[in-house]
Amino acid sequence: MVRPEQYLNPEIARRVKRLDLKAKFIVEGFLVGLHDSPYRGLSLEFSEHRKYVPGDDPRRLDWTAWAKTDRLYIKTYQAETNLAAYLLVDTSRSMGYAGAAGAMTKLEYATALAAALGYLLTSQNDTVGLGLLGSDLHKLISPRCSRRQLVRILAELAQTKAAGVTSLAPGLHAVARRVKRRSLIVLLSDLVDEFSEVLEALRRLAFRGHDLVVFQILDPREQNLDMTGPVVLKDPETGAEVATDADHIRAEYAHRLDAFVQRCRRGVKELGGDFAVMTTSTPFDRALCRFLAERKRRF
Amino acid sequence: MTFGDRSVLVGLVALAIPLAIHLLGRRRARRVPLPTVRFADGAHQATRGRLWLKRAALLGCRLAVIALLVLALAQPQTGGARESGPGGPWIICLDTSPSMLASGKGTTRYEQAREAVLRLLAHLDGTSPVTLVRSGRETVQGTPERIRAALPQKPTVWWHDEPLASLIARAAVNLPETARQGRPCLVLLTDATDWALRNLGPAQFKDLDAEVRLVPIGGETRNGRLGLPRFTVAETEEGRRLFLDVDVAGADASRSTTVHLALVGQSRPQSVAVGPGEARAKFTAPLEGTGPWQGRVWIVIDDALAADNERFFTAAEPAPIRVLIVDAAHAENEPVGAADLVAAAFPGLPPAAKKVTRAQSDAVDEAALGQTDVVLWIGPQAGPSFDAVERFVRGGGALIWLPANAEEPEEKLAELLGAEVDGVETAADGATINPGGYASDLLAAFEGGAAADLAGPVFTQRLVLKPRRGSASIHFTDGRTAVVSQTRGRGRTVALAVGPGKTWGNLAARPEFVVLMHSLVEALAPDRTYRAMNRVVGRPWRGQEGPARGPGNYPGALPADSGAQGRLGRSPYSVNLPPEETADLTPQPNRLAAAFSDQRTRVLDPSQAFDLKGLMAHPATNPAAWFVVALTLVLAAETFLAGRPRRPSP
Repeated sequence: MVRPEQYLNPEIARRVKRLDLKAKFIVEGFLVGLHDSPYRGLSLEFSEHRKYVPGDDPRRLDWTAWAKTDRLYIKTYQAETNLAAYLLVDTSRSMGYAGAAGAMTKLEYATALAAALGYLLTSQNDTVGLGLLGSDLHKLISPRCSRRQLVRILAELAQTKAAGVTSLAPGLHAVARRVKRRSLIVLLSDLVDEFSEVLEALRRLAFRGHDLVVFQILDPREQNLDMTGPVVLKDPETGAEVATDADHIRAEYAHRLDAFVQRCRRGVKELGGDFAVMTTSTPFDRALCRFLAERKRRF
Repeated sequence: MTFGDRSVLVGLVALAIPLAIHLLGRRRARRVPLPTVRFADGAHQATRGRLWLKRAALLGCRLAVIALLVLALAQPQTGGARESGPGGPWIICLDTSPSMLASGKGTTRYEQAREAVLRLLAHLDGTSPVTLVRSGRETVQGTPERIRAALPQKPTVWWHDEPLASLIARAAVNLPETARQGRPCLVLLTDATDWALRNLGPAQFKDLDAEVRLVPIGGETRNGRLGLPRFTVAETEEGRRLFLDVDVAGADASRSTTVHLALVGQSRPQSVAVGPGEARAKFTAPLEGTGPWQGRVWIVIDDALAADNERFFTAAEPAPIRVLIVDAAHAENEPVGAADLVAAAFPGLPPAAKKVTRAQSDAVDEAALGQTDVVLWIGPQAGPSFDAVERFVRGGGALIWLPANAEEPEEKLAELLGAEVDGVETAADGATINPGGYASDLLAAFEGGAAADLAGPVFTQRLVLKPRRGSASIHFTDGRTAVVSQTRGRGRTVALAVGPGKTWGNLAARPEFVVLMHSLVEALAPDRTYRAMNRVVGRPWRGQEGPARGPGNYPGALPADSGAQGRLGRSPYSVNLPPEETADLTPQPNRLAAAFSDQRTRVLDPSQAFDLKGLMAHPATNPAAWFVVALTLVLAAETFLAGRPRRPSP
């Protein structure tokens, strides 16, 4: 029997066809892994009483209840934030790439991660919205905190297909224009684009007070150029081909890709955002941890 | 560079395989989608030059691996910096001595060797310079076609061989010229008989800047043998004739056995059939001219030369010996002096005998000695200058000193003779020469070697001779020294303890006196008599067929047991060559191989004598190690260039 935390592994999560279940399993597995979550009970809305146990903060004792019952109870509160998060998913054709046969595509990984984040946010009563980016902003769902909103987001993500060329900048500019409220912008993309333009768009978002979390999603094969011998490499978006020897260019390729990633990291960091490179084989908890850390930092 | 098996070079077609792989490999490249292709493109552009070089080097390495493999299988042979091969200069030394006429299974050795040469010529380029050197024939130079034409179906075999050493010496004469056209290859085709190998060894090849291939031609030979021929030359009513008989072994009823006699200058050889049970063949032949007459006897069984088949002989008139008799003891008016007795021993042979009187003896100068072979110095008094005689002896002359009277020779003369005279003693009962004491080479030619011949004279007076630098050659019966001889420079001196006069004994009155004088004179003039005929002719013989310009081609002086026969007087003098200088047809390829340890020299297996690969091969440098090293380097380069696929860890 699969234990909940095993769904953090993309290999396992991929077996779950329904995105809502996939998100549920990922988040549950993540929470089980967290045990005593430090994020619970951060709001001020009373939730329930529970018996005091040594180690609880004495400031949170309900002295009134003690006076009435001569027993020590701790007051717990339901989480309550005004966080609005936008999950922006790159749906360009390059995101439909999977290096190994049967492996999770970058888009599948991104949607699974976005669903998990949406599930997590919703379960914590945060408002969550969705943006689908390609050559432009294809879809933008305003953030809400409801079960229905989550269902809608998951439905959108489930129907998403990789298509079109990557052009993140126009989409991000559109998001910047339409999102007025200060929000947490989570971008899930391979960033295979003209990054200077992307960075300009991100700068615009940051200028508007949005917090940025960028997950660059890559396939292990494109990260390591995991192939040998003479190959003709074809760009799935533009159809451009390069005939070369994979063994011969691997080092130079890795160097160039790494330089690009570092450039992206530096650019996002300069905007005060968080940047993480995820491969489609990276466990989801790593992304979720980063996300929660960013959320905690902000709130 | 040449190849032992050029047919393997067809394998170079396999070079097309890596070429095809290289060219088709690009088409075979897999198409792989990659979203980050722009980084790959950048990396490709940045490393394109190196990639091209790497591919070219890789292709070169793979081509080299195959090429080296094929070349190694083709058995490459190198000859150093300068190469020889089908187009290079070839010097073919073909032994055409009589032993090459021996046959085994239908073909003679000459025919086998000729076939090998023709096959070699067939593989040479039409313009290849070839030099053909044959026994007793002039050297032929030209194209393979010309050489082919110069090889007759059957050889004109000269009756006396030219040993291989001489053939090689002649070939060496042509080396400097041929070496300009490349490193020459000397091919020696011989039956490697005992005679052919005479004096042959590494020394012959030490200074030869050429590859050497020895091709021993073998084969079975008939088992027939000849003994030493016994012969005399005598004046008959029909003129001067040779009488010769020779022992024959191996004749039986199942085979026809024939003994042949050939004399130089006589066109047709004589043949004598030897029937079953017969053991001797007899010949007689007229002789012309004054000699020396040279000839050979050989035995043929079933139309093929038999093993140990030949005997050579030389008959010659004794060469004139110039004798100068110096009378230093007697006055002109004395009736008969000792010198007169000595001079009486030379009335006929040699005709050049000359006597000078005591008064003239002081006038004998170096010019007079220069026209003399042997000086007979009679008496201790006066005479020519000691220094002049000393130079005469050292230059190859001979001095025989005999006492004329009881006076002792003065010190300088004694020093010259290598003997010390310690007075004169008388032997009242008479002294005789010990018959066993004159086995000296001085008397080796003494007719018959009859010991009793010199035992006859009785001496009543003698000098007490004591050898100083010389040695006692002949003794009296009582042990006293009769003759002291010594070698001085290139000449010899002989001192006798007795003189010819009556005061010494009855020597001069006996017939042995003449024999003794002639024996001494002939023995002391070796360089100008029959021994000279048997010296090696250093230069290769190049003359026409017939009598050689030199008196003979046989090496070395005659040993004592050579079976030499001679007759004094006016009879021609005959010499039989020693047994070891006669032919033995047994091929001795092992001995041939042992004679050459030079790396350039290669002795081919007789069973593969006609394997042209062996003839053409030039294994001066062993290529195996070179190929192993080259192959290893190429494979290492290939491994380095191809590399192992690197899969970076995630």
